[in-house]
Order: sequence, then C-alpha cells, then structure tokens
Amino acid sequence: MTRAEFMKRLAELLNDVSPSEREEAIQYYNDYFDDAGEENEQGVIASLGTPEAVAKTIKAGLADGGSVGEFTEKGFNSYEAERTNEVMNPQQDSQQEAKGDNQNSYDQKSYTYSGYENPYKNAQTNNQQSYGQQSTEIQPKKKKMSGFMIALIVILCIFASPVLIGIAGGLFGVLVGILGALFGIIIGFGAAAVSLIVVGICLFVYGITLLFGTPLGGLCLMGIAMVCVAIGLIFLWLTVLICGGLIPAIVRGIVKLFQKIFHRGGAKA
Amino acid sequence: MVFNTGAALLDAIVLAVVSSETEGTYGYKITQEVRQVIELSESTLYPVLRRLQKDECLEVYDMECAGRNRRYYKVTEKGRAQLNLYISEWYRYSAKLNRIFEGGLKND
Repeated sequence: MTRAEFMKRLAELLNDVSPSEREEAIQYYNDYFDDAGEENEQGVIASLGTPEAVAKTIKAGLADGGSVGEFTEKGFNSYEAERTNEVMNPQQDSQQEAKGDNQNSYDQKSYTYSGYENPYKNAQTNNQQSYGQQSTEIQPKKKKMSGFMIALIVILCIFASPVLIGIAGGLFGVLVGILGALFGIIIGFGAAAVSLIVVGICLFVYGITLLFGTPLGGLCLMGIAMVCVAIGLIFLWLTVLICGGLIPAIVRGIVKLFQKIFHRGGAKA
Repeated sequence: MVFNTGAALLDAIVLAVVSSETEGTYGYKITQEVRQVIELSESTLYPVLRRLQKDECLEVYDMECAGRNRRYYKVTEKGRAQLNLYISEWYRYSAKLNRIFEGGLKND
C-alpha cells in the first residue's frame, strides 16, 4: 500500500465525520508522511496499521474528545486508572482475539492504545465498540439472571404453597387440640374440685347428724368428708395454677409462634 | 512495556514534549519523541493532540516549511497549568510508589 492509497482510503473512511474534522485529520497525516520523508513511507504505513485502524482511532478520539471537564475529571486518579487498565486489558485482548481480526500487527499495536484509552471511555463512545459492546452484553445477562431467579422463587412459592398451607393447617390443628385438651383439663379439675368439696361438706353435715346415733360411724364419715374436701382443695389449687400460670404462658407461646409463621410467610410472598 | 500508560499520563507526556519547544513542534516530531519513552502506535497521538487542542491546552498554527505548510502545536497557558498539575501529581504519586517499593525491599 502506498501513501496515496493509504490517504485515499482514510479519507473515504472518514466520510461520516464532520468536514472540518476530516480536513484536520487528513492534514495531520499528510504532514506526518511529509515529515517522515519518502524513504520512511513504508515504515510509517506499517506502524500506523491499516487505514481502518487509523480511522477508528480518529473517530474514537472524536467521540470522547472536546468534552468539557474531562481534565478535572481525570485528574490523576492513577490508582484507579491503573487498576481499571489491568482489569480492562485482558477482556479487551480476548475480545479482539475473539473478533478474529486477521490484522495481527494492528491488533498488537492497538493494545497500547486501547490500554490507555479505554478506562476513560465510561461515557461509552459509540466508536469504542469493543468496550461498548462489552457493557451492553454483560448487563442484560445480569438482568436475565435475576429475572430467572425471581421467576424460580415465584414458581417455588406456588408449588410449595399447598405444602405450606398444609403445614400451617397442621400446626393450627395441633394448637387448637392442645388448647382444647387444656380447657378440658381445667374444666375437669374445676368440676372435680367443686364436686369433691360439695360432697365433703355434705358428708361432714351427715356425719354430724350421725354422731348422735352412732358416734363411731359419724366420726368416720366426718373424716372421709375432710379427706374429700382436702382432695377437692388440691384440685382447686391445680385449677387456679393452670388458669393463672400455664394459660398465659401458653397463649404467649402461641402468639409468638403465629407471629413467626406470618412473618416468614410475608417474607416469602 | 510492562506498565500501561493512562490517558492522563499520556496527556502529561505530550504536553511536556510540546512545551519543551518554545516555538512549538509538529506531529511527527512529537510522536517520535513520545515513542522514545513509551511504546505506542503512530496513530495514537492524533486523537490526543486533537483533544488537547479542543481543551485549549494546545494551540495550532501553520508555518511554511520547505515549500509547504506544516501544522505546529504550542502549549497554551491553560496547557501549561495543566502540565504543572500533572507534574506535581506525578511527583506525589511516584514518591508514594517509591516509598512502597523501598519498603517492600527492606522487608525482603
């Protein structure tokens, strides 16, 4: 490729940039060839790479060039810049390789170029295709992943809901059963206490009346009556204990359990 | 080269090279001088020069030379201020790095 061919192709490739920018670039490279001298023409062409590569470089520069505040923004955040460089480069390299670009000499040379230009291309210039593509490729992937996950969770919830409802129902039944049993015990104990005390009092009264006829039988009856009353009192005490101590504790436990269940349910839904 | 040259560092190098010539210098010469210190493609500098020009860090003028017009680049006041900022930042940065490297050597 001669200089004339190179410049012609470059001019063609720069057809889609503004005329002033094209002029500027053409003049620069014409100057460049002039200054390099005819004897270095082939060397310069080899070093520049293809006109396509040069045009790409020019366009990339235009896309992020001239933006105000670029310098202050860049400052000299070398730590970050260096780090992004290192992170970016392997990706860049592999992408360029993946592109299967057969312009090997260009690729190798452009590494240095892309190495320093890319980290500052966060504004996503349209010409830095490799970088732009990368970010647009990665983001939908991420979105897809999370969407898929959400769908999975929803499906899981739907499929699990019968099981969850079953478990909840089972727990509810067990609780009701325990409550019922407790209620039964309380009533039973209370009834036993009341009846024992009543029977005891009755026997005691009957014993007093018997005392006059058969003092021994009357005393025995009075003793039995007292034992009855004592047992009745024990049941009464148990009943009061259950009502006053156990029931509030159980109710509190149940409330806690339900809170847990509903919280978990809310979180899952 | 092992290390990448960040855009800011390249700007600083270009500004320094251009400012070393009071009368200004031209693209080919700038490229050759920069290429003496860092590896870069000959096509790399044009966008840098163009951007620095748009950022008013460089100004251009054409001067006749050997029967043709050659475009010269010259550092502006703003460019000089920018270069000074870069240089002071560079000293601070490289001093920090040196401290770390020397510290690393001591520990070996």
